[in-house]
Amino acid sequence: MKTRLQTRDIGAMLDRSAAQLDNDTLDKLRNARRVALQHQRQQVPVLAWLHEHGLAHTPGHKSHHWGLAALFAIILFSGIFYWQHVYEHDHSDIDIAILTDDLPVDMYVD
Amino acid sequence: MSTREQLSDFLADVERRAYKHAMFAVRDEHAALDIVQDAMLKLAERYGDKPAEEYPMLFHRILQNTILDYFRRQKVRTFWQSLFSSYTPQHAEEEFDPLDVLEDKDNPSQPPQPDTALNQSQVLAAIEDGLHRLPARQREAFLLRYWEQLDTAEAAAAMGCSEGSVKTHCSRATHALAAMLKEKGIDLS
Amino acid sequence: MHALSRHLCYMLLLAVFCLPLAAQAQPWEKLTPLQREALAPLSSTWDTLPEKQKANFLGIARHYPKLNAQQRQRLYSRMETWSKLTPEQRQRAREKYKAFSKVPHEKREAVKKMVRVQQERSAASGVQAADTVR
Repeated sequence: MKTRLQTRDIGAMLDRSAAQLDNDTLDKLRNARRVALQHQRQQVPVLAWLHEHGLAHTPGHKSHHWGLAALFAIILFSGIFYWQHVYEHDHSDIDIAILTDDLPVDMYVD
Repeated sequence: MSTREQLSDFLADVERRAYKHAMFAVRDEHAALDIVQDAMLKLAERYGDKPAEEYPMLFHRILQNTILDYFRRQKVRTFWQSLFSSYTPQHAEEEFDPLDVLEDKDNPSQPPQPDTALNQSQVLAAIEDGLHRLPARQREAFLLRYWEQLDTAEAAAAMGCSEGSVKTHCSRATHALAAMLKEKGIDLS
Repeated sequence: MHALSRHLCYMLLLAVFCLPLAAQAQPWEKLTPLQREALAPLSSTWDTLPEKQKANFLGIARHYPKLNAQQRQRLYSRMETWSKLTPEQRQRAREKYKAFSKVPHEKREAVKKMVRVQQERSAASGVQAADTVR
C-alpha cells in the first residue's frame, strides 16, 4: 500500500514541522521580532525635544542657566560629531577604479 | 489596532515559517536565523508604515532577496578565500552557483520503499528533502502558494515576476516533488 | 548678562552648524551641469544621500570627464549599488580592490573570466532577483 498525499496537505504538514522547532530557535526568533518592532518606521520628534528644553525660559532662573549650558554642550558636541563624520578622506581615485573596472562592484562588497 | 500591533501579529505568525523557508534554501541554522532577523528588520524599518495587507508580499520579497544576498556573499567570501590559497581556474568552474537549476542526477535516490505505508515523520522528512532539492524559484513559488496561501497575484508581487511565471514555477515544482516523492513510495496528487 | 550668554549660544550654534553645511551642502539644483551629467543615475535619490556619500560622489564626479564611453557606462550601472553601501563597506571594498590589484596578471584575468561565465549562466537561466524591494 503506497502512501498517498495531496499537494494541499503539504502546507499542514509543514505547519506541524514549524511547530516542532526547538525552544532555543523560537527564543531567537522572538527576539528578532522584538528588535524589528523597535525599529518600526516612525517620525523622530527631534524638533519637539528642542522646543521643550529650549530657549524660551524666563531669565534669572538658576536652572535655566544649567539647562542652557547643557543644551549648549550638547549642540557643540553634536556639531563636532557631525562635522567629523561628514568629512571622509578623498578616495576618489580608487573609487573610480572600482566603479569602472572589469569586475562588478558586488565582488568587492561583503 | 495600531500599526505596531498589526506588524507584531504578522511577524509572530510568519516567523517560524520564515525560518523554515530560509533553512530550505541555505541549510544552515545560524545563517537562517540571521536571514530572518534581517528580513524582519528591513520590513519594519522600511515598510513598517504600509497597510498590513501588504506585509506578506513585502516580507517574502525581502526574505528571498536576503537569501540571495547571503548566497552572493558566500560566493564572494569563497572567492577571496580561494584567491589567496591554492587557486586554479578549474576549481572556479566547479563553484556552486545556487541560481543554477539543480538537477540532482548524481545523488543516488533511496531504493523504492516496500509496500508499507510510511509514518508521518517519514513523509515529512521526504517532503522537506524534496523541497531542499528544488531550484530556488520553484521552491519559492510552491511555498508561497501552498504554504503561505498567497494567491497568484500576491505571489507574483512577492517574486517580482508575472502570474504566468508563478504558475509555471509552481507546476514544475509540483512535478519535480512528485517525482522525488515517488522514489520514496509516496504518491503525490 | 543673560542676554549676552544667550546671544553667544545662538552664534556658536549657528557657527557649528554652518561649518559642515558650508563645506558639504550640495542639493541637486546647486550642482554644475557637468556634475549632474556625471551623477545622472542618482538624480532622484541625491537629496536623500548622507553628506558623506555626497562628498564621496562629488569626488568621483571630478574624474568623469576623463572616462571613455565604456567606463562611463559601467560607472552609471554601478552608481546606485555604491550609493547604498555604508562607509565601512566602501572602505572594505577599497581594501579588497587594492589586494586584488597586487595579484599576478594571469590570476586576475582567470578570475575575471570566471565571473563573466557565472554572469552569463545566471542571465541564461532567466533568474531575476526582485531587487526593487530589498
